[in-house]
Amino acid sequence: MSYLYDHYSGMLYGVISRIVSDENIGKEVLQDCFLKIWDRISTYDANKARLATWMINIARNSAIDKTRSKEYSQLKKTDSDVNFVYENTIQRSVQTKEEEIGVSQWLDLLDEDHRLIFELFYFKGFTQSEITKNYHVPLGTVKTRLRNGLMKLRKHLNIS
Amino acid sequence: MKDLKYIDSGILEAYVLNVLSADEAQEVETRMAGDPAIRIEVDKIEQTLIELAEGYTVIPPPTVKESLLSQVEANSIKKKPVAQFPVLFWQYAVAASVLLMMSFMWLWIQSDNTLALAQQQLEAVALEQTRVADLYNTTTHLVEEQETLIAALADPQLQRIQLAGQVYDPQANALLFWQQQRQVVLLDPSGLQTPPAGYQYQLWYLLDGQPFDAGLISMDSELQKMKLVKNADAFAITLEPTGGSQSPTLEKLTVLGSTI
Repeated sequence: MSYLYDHYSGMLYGVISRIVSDENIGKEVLQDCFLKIWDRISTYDANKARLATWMINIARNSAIDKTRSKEYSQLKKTDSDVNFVYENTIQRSVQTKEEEIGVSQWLDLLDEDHRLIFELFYFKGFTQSEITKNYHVPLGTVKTRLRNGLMKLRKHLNIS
Repeated sequence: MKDLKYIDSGILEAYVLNVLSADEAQEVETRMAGDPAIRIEVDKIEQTLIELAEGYTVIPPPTVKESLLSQVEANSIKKKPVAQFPVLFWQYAVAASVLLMMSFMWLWIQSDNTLALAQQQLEAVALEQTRVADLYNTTTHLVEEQETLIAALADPQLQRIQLAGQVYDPQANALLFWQQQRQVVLLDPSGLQTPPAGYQYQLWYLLDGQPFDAGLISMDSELQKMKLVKNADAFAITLEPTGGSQSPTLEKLTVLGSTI
């Protein structure tokens, strides 16, 4: 447990912090997430996914579940679009403070339209059809932008 | 038999993020088993997302670990069986039956303990197994990296640039290899002193008098691949706060070498 925590807590907390902006809730979600990992480690199948991917998915889902819970919506009684923009701004200011230079600009490589969809999908846990519905972008466009966005990052990370 | 249309549909990204329905996920797994190209693609998507997540690492406050470990401990204590022995001093017959019952209970607790122990061991083995699988992935990746390094070093067009110590640290030196066509930069930092706590070396390239970031230097590896550099007049290393800076701290210019 200690081993897993020491190796992956930073990465997972990063994932969680992009979804949940409140630090106290973020800490709670991280703890929750590790209890889940500990509970389900026997169901992990190395043939299906890498350990890190498996844990990132648990972290993301825990955080998303939290944002959809009653407790969380009471905390933020704002319209969801405004909410997103607001959280995003908070996130960015936190990131720039805590982040190493360079890395935090990865997503800035993408243009605005691509980045919004990319963040919604990979970080905020929206499904492709939810993005289509809420942001009035055709499903085909959502798919291409996600794919193109990922390819661009891959090129940048030298994963060809 | 590379099914490009399927790969481009975006379904693999959704699979990696675990947002597909069970049927859809099953379909991806079936196709993956039949077509190595899909398996490779899924692997690359995973790698991108992991690197992205690693890039956005935020160190959690230390209190989380303490509270987590104490909670895990509390849970496992709760699960341990609590033995209660009825103590009765009646007639011999009763005493004997109590004795018999106690011995059964003892046996039962023993077996339960063994079971708990076996379960613990199983968990430990499962954890170890996933760790090894993960290590295997990382190692494969490292080997690929090393192969690129070796290929680059064997290149006859490789330029060897000696970076010499500056006023800040006259004893320092570093060796840089540059394959300009492929833009590959390799650096051997073993001639640099261990940086003080909280500091890290950063490589820069200079072009038309302007410095540009060429990557942070790890003291753990002898020869390392830096960022790609297309054109440069010189390379320089400065000592920067851990995590690097956006522009070099010139008072801490450690080594410098010109490309001409």
